[in-house]
Amino acid sequence: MDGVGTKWWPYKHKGSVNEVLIISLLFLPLAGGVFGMLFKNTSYSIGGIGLSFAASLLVIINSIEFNTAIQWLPDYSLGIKLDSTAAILICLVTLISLLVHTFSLEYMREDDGKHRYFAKLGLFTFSMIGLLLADHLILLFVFWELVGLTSYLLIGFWYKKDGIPASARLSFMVNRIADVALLAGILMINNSGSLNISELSGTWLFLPSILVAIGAFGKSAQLPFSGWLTKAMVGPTPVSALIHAATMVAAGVYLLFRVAPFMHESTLIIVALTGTFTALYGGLCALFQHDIKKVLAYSTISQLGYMVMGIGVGAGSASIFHLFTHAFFKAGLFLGAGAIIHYLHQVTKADAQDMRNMGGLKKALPWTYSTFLVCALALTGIPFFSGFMSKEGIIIAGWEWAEQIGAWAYIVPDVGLITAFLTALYVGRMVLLVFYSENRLEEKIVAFSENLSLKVPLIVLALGSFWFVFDWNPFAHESRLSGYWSSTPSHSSDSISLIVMILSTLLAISGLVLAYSFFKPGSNYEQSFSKLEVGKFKLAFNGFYLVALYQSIGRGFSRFSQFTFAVDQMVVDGFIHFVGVGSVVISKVIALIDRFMVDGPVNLCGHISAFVGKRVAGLSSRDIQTQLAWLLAGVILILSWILFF
Amino acid sequence: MQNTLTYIFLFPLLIALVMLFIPAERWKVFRRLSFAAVAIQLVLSVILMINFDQSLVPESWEGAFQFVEKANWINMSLGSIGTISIQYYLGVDGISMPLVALSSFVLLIGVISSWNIEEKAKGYHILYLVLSSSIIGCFIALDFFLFYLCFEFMLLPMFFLIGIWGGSRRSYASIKFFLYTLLGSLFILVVMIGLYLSVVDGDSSTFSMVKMLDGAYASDTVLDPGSPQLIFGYSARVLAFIFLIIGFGIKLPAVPVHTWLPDAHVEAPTPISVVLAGLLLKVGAYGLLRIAYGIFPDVAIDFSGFVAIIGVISILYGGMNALAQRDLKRMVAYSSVSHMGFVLVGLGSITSVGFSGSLFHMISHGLISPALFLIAGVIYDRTGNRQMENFSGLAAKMPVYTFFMAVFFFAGLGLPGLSGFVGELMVLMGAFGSSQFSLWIGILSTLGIAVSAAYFLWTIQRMFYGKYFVRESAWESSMFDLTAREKLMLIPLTILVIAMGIYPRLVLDYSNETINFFIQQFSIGQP
Repeated sequence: MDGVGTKWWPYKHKGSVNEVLIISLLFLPLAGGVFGMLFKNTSYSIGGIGLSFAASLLVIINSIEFNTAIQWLPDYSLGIKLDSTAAILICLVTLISLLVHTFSLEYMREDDGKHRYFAKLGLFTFSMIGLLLADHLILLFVFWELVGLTSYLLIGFWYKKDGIPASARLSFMVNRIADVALLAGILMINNSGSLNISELSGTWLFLPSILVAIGAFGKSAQLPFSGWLTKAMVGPTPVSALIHAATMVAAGVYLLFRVAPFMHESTLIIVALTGTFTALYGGLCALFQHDIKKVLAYSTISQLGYMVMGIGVGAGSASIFHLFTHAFFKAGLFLGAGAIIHYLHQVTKADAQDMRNMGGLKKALPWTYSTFLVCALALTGIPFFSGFMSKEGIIIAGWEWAEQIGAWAYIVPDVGLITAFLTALYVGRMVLLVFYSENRLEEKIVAFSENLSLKVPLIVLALGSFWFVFDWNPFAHESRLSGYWSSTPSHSSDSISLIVMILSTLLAISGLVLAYSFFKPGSNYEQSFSKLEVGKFKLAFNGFYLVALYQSIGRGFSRFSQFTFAVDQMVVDGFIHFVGVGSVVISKVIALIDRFMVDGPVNLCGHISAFVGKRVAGLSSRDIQTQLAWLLAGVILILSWILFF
Repeated sequence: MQNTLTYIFLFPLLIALVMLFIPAERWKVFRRLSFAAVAIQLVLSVILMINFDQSLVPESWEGAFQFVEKANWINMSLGSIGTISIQYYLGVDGISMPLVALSSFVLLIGVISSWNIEEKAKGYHILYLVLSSSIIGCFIALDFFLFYLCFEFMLLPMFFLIGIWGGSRRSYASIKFFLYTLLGSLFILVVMIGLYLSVVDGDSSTFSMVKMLDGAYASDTVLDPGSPQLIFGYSARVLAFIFLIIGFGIKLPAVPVHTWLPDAHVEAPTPISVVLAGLLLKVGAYGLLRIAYGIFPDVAIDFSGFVAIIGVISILYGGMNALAQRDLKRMVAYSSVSHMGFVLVGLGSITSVGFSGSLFHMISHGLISPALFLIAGVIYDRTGNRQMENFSGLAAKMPVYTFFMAVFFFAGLGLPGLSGFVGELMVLMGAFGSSQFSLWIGILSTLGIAVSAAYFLWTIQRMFYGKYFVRESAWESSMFDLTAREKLMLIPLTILVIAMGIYPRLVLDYSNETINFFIQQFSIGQP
């Protein structure tokens, strides 16, 4: 990758300068956040992430590649590598992070803990960049855990509110359990050679490869781990945009993309099926939510499902493309939702995330409306928007993959198409409920100034959702960026791509039409859609009770811990007490024996001699003459005994 | 460097002697003297660390030790049986050097934590200094008799420190602690005598651990590997190894001989918990590594699966019990049981990365668990209560406290970037790479990191998140954030835990060559 723009960065071949560039790229967001918290000034955070983004642009423009290793343990080095894939994704992360920082300036303006908030955002950005720079799987795991930590801290950001601490813990625990699998998988591979991604070779056995895949499923909220992502929605909304939509949850997809060439083939089929059903699951659940953030969360789960499906069917390049486009339009949707919530918080006391309290917001929030609409169309997969291009790539690859695998495998592209229809349906429903029809609040809609720090990120993300950012041809399912992460452009047969494109466009449009017929302003359905929790849709409303399942597993676990503690108290310690009490009893018995049987005869002798002594004592008298006489008598007695016997 | 080890070893004892002649009313003098004694100990250990030759590649155990001091100590003629000769023999290698440094550091933290003990301060500080000397002595003694003396001598001050300055059930806890450990010591005593009868230095029997490590057995003695003698159908070496596992396993503590630990911790005053968790448990682990594994490598290799299984049980069982606790200190105590299980798994793996991991985990746990006990002590000092359900939302009221709590809870649950992760990772690398036992031991140990997350996070949720609440209104006034003294203890611990997490070679560079040599003994020992 010999660069074009050496004039921008004259030090292309001087390693040390590149090192400085990459170190600042990595550490500036963290340093900005920490200084921002220490000096209570948000401009440090913005400056840090801004400079980091600038550095990542320099890396891209100059095609800087970088490779080094740190000797972390004796005789054990961890590789760090900046290749073009990492570089473009770092650019994406820092850009979205910068936009979210900007948006948060307004969103968190009134919050007491905003400096703490920006510090955590900085820590997150640092960890995410680190994850992308890591070449070694252990180093990747280090940052993997750190992004999990920041996710936990930010979900629990408003820790005083009811339910939030429990949600944060649940999210972390679900991730942690998947991480156990990931770590075990990595360590199994550790025995058979280097863990540097660039030096991996051969094919892994089934067990380690499925364990690594499970780790990725956890982070990317695939079934059966999907529930944590909906719980994560209690965090501040810009955080949802950055961490729980655009970047961190995509880390699982990124990991799968990197290791897919070494995966066991059965694992890849499991990966494809998991992604497929997760996509369907997310789409179904998103349709039956009241909470706008939950709709978006389930939508994220569904879109991540597409990406994982893409990895499984061997279309890693298309998956990363979808990761890229999704980051823009989903971050745009979340930030849009954030603007809506921010607005409603100022107008009403009612639940600001509940779509039943929205409606007619088009007039109040014109900028939010138009950008939201663009991003929503991109999510739907309508031609001329980015989502169409990337999603087509995955479904087409799925179709071609199914042709090779066998008839049953068509379930993968078919479900992909069905999900495309569901996507259009829930997106249509959401947009209609939120922006169209009448205001359902008691309070009147008032004009709201969408200031620059809200507006600019929304506009940038909406612009990024158009086709031309990725390719001039709106029907291409490759991107001009694809060269960054894939050296071999995929060649798909034109007939299949034509069929898929027509099918999915038709499905998307019919989904939108159907949504309109249900949720058009003034329709009956709109009045009755407030009963999802109890009606026949409660299964989907509750996300098929995945969270309830986790909670009951957690309760069972906790009950089991009570049991082991009882064992510890009664059995283990009980045995010790038994031994203790037993030895006290034995020693008491020995004491009794000692007193009566050993001491008894001794005392008896004593008593006898005391008795005799007393009797004999009477014989003696006080005057010395008598005593002498007795003495003499005694001596004679003894002498005569000696002499005569 | 001449005699530095002696100074480290005996200086606290000397100060304790001086204290005897100071009137008890002047109680503030004692803590200052204690502080000075332990601080000098720490300075001397740092000097040793700087002068320690990390690159020394040992040819034999004899050559592995540095700063060696050797003198005849006791020579007693026993008539026709021979003579008992005991040496004053000190030295450190890459395994004991980090432990000596850890000890003097944690002992200093313990003194600072004892600062507000006014009741019977004279006795307290004299006992504390005796404890300091004997702990260090355990790590640097190269004569088994001297080691055993120090090992036993830790018991005495500990018994009184818990029994006099402890909580409401202190006499129960101290007697339980005493009896348990005494039982363990008896097993070790038997092995010590057996070794004395078998190992020779020249012509005469010796207690020298170096000779024992190097395997200088007289032929046809009871513990000679070549000896055909059997005791109850078992080779004496196997029995000796099992005795050592029991003896040091109690001290470690390994499940199922761990139940003295939670009681001792709950009743002990905070500084004693700090020393107990930080150092006394490490003596058990050190004994396993140095004596059981060092002297009996041929038996250890056969029993490695057994040791690792005990380790896995300790990890999971200890973790589950920690999850069931409502008393913060008892939760931390059980987490210690769980963490020490990783040390056993690392030892069981008989790989160089597993051994290094065990040692690293000992050091790391030696920093994390004192901090956790200090954190439990903060709440107890303020309210006299530690029940989790009596507190909620402390994060809002005590942010600095919450910050340190978070650092050490996450260190305890093995978050990368903090030292706890490195130890666990290396132990697991050893377990997965070990040829001694099956993959499942590795996988089950890995589950430990999910269990530890469960109990630490649940505690955070119950005590620190949520709305601010304390059970009794009388506590309200004392719920202030950390004092300068508390910060003084926690900040250095935090720095070390982070530094070791990011740059583990701070410790590993010391131990690397010694442990590589150690592992070679196992391949030689194999038939």
